[in-house]
Amino acid sequence: MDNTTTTLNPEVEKQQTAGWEAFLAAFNGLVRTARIHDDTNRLLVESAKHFVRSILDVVEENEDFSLKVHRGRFYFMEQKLLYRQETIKLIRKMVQYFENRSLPALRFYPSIQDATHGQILTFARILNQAKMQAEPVTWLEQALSKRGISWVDIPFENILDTEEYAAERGERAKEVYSHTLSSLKNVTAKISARKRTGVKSVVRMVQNMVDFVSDEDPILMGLSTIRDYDDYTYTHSVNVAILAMCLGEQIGLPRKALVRLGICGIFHDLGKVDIPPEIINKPAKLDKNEFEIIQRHPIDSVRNILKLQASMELKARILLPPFEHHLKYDLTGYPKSRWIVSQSLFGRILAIADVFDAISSPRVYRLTSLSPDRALGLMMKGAGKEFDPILLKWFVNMLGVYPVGTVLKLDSGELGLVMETPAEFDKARPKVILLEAAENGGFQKGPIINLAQRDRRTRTYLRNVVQSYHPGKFNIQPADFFL
Amino acid sequence: MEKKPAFSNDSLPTKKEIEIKKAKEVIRVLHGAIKNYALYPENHTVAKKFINDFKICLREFVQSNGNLKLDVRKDGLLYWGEKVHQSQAMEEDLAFLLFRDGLEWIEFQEGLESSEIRFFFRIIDQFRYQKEESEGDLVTAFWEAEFTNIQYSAGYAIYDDQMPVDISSFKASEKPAIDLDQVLQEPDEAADVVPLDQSLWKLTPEEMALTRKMVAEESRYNSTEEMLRVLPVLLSRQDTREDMHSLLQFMRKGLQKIVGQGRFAFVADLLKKLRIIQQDFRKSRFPAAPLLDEFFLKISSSEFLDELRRILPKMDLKDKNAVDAFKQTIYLLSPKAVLALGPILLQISAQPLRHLVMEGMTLLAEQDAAPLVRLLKHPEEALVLMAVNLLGRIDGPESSDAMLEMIEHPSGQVRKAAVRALARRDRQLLGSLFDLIENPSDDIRDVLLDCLAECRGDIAETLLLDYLQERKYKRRDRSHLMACYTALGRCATTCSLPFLEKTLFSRTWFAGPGYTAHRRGAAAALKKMENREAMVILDKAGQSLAPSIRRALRKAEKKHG
Repeated sequence: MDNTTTTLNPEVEKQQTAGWEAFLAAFNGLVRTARIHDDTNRLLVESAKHFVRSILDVVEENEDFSLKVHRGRFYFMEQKLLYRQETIKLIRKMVQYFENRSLPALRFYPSIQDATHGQILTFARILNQAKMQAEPVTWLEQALSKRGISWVDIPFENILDTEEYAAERGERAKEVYSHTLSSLKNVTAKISARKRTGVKSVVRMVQNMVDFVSDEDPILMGLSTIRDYDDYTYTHSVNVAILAMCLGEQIGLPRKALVRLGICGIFHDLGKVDIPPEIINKPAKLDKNEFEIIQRHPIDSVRNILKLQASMELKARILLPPFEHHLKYDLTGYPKSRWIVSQSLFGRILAIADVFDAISSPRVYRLTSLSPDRALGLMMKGAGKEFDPILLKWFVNMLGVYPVGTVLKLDSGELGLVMETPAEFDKARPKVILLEAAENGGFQKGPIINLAQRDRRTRTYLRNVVQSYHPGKFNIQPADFFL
Repeated sequence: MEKKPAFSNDSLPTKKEIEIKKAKEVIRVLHGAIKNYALYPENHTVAKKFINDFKICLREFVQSNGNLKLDVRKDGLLYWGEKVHQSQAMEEDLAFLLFRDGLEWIEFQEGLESSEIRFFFRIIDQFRYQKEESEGDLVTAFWEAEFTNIQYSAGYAIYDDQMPVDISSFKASEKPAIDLDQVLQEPDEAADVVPLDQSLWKLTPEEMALTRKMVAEESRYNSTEEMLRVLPVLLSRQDTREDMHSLLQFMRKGLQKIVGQGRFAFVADLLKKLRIIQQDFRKSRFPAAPLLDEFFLKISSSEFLDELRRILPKMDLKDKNAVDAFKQTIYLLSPKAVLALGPILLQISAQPLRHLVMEGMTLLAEQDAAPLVRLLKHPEEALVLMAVNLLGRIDGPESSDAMLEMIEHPSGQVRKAAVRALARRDRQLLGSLFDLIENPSDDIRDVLLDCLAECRGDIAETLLLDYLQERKYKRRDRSHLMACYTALGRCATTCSLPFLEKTLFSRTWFAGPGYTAHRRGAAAALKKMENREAMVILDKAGQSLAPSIRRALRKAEKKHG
């Protein structure tokens, strides 16, 4: 992959790298502006011109210009783009943009200089929409051809590479999830046995999760649908951490802050280790005493965090949100104290993630849990009282009307499992995996369809949502279908 | 690891051997650089030279062979499957460290700069000796460093005691598998929740701006302060001594940090809460109050308060709130804090700040003077002197007795300070101090007379008048008597006029040559009184036919204007 034979003059090399980075910036500007503005917008027209210029700046006359994504790195004209601190965020963002569309590469031909602005904008819009398609690359090729755009194509030799890489990432995400669970169980067991325990492994796992989150990779969100009916607390803690980090990423928290937020999520229920299992798993309503014991757990979480072998700086940063995760936005909830005058940002984020995961999880004392979309609807009723209204809006934007993992009954008579939330379009029309009856009485993965697809002739939607269900109703783990 | 294109059969041995040899050389230079980085300060020429050597060596390698990607194995480092470094089980060995922390491979890439190499070495050095349980290792530190030209991959092999959880075995719910056809034929449940419509969740520009503000505030967030805000809640609900002890220990560390930031308003607020909890605990059965007592003693120690030396000079004394907060903080400490504050005070030269700290110490000593009294035994005279001055402001027999003892202190300065402090704090004490008027030390006598002189129309006048009128003095030297008369003049009222007039005009020549001192003393006293009656007497003295009287007047006028 590396071009190891060509040695360029350092100055020329520097200029070349700058040119490629400028192209990525222009590309990013174009696709982002195209999401917001219509074709007549001046900024958008300027973005299109800038995009073309950025290509012409880096190629010789009559030369093709190709870029490719391989294992999370960009290669321009088969040369690897070196990471620089200043541009690493942009590069990662664009890598993710390509991966979200399973797009392995693009090749621009010299005729791009004759392309109209309208064509450039169409190209940007098609690229944006490709994310929504079941087979984005095929769809993209057809869409480009249909619109007569011939100055760009997708080199075929790279497609296999990308699919393999996506599968690898899926496996890795699963591995991270299971090791995070295992690290948490380990810490909890040691705390419970009054042994010393560090947080190194948890920090490491959370850092791994942040890598997924900050790459805007939807895979981790899919993993947050994992439920363990028999041992709810651990999966709940990891799911809360994932949801909290995803929300944190949405609102623009930096990576290191996301790690702290993730650790807070992992440890937010560490106090439950002190609650007798017969109370936690009581299949009936708790009595007053039992409820009081339950209400102690945020305080006990803090008490147990204090026992971890970690610096005061780290503990100081992860204590407060677990303490506050049952506080409500209006400072009701628990723990109650005359000295509580505010709730931290991380505390408000955790409260949202915690409630969402809790009310959408099947529990021994609750026969029916809310489907994710209903859980969100219920939470919206508490905006401004129970939850920070702005953060809750971000949360809904992030999850969509039908969050990942929701089972939808369609008017076509099919069942679909929401696998991806539309980022920019109608948030009530996600991409779903059709669930097909399997021989063992369960379900198997069917084709992926997009609920935003319309009939070509009538322009009506091909499928509509009739009813939503919790995946637990069908005893399915959504994550099994995503990976 | 990626497979490198195979070498051609003809050239395989030569090319491969050359490349492996070069890789070995880079690793040798890398090891030398890491070793020297640990031996010298980061900016030392030697450390810099080794970093640069590695940079150059790597660059040369990368230019001809591509990025240097090394597989990490227990027994060494591999380059394209060939061992290029034999691992040694010691903290000096890079391969050992990388393997220990679970790195699978590491790649040094084209464009690696000195700053990044230095950062890499710093991390290696920092995590060379790994604690069994900690919050980080090489991998977490590499992640935080966000290297741009060093890539790596880490596995989970280090967590031997942690078997990965098999998530595929999880049960999603208790329900058995269902019949799909049956579900699809069920009538649709009535939605119990209003479907979400876009207007409910669409973010407005104002909300976007508020979000940015929240995020910005988070980056400025004082985590220690926020943590301390919540710990009192936890503290008030503790029910084991062990937990309480560790909690208080943790709070102490956090509090010390906040004191170091000079955030006294916060500290005072926190200490108030802790005092309330302490009171509550005194009423409860759980014997926690002694632990809190101990906490307050610890945060009042020199070790804890030492940060004040650095932070106090930065304090804005014009900020009334800050000044009040500081005073409140001091007031809430244990009176033993005086022992820590005393030495700090000595290092403060700015008068207003000295005054502030002294005020704080006074507040503490008013609660319990014993620590301040203990400072009187300190070997440093300046500290004793300061303690005496402060003790002078404290009422009570304990402080009086301590200061009276200080009158016998070997240092004249201390003795003077003790007398002055005693005389000024309580005029009733002047009676018991009056014996010092015959003290062999000029300084002590001067201070006493000075203090007596300041108390016009009071016990001082009675004492001096009695001393002179009844001739109780044993010292008969002229200067002493003159000083006594002058002091009397400063504190006298009309009550002393008859005595002074009589002394000035006395014609009893047989009184002896020593009488001149009395006459001149009386003239000086009258001159000091500066009132009409005294002036009339002095006018009369000026017209006296007795030369000795007129001489006494002239002397007084010459000396006292």
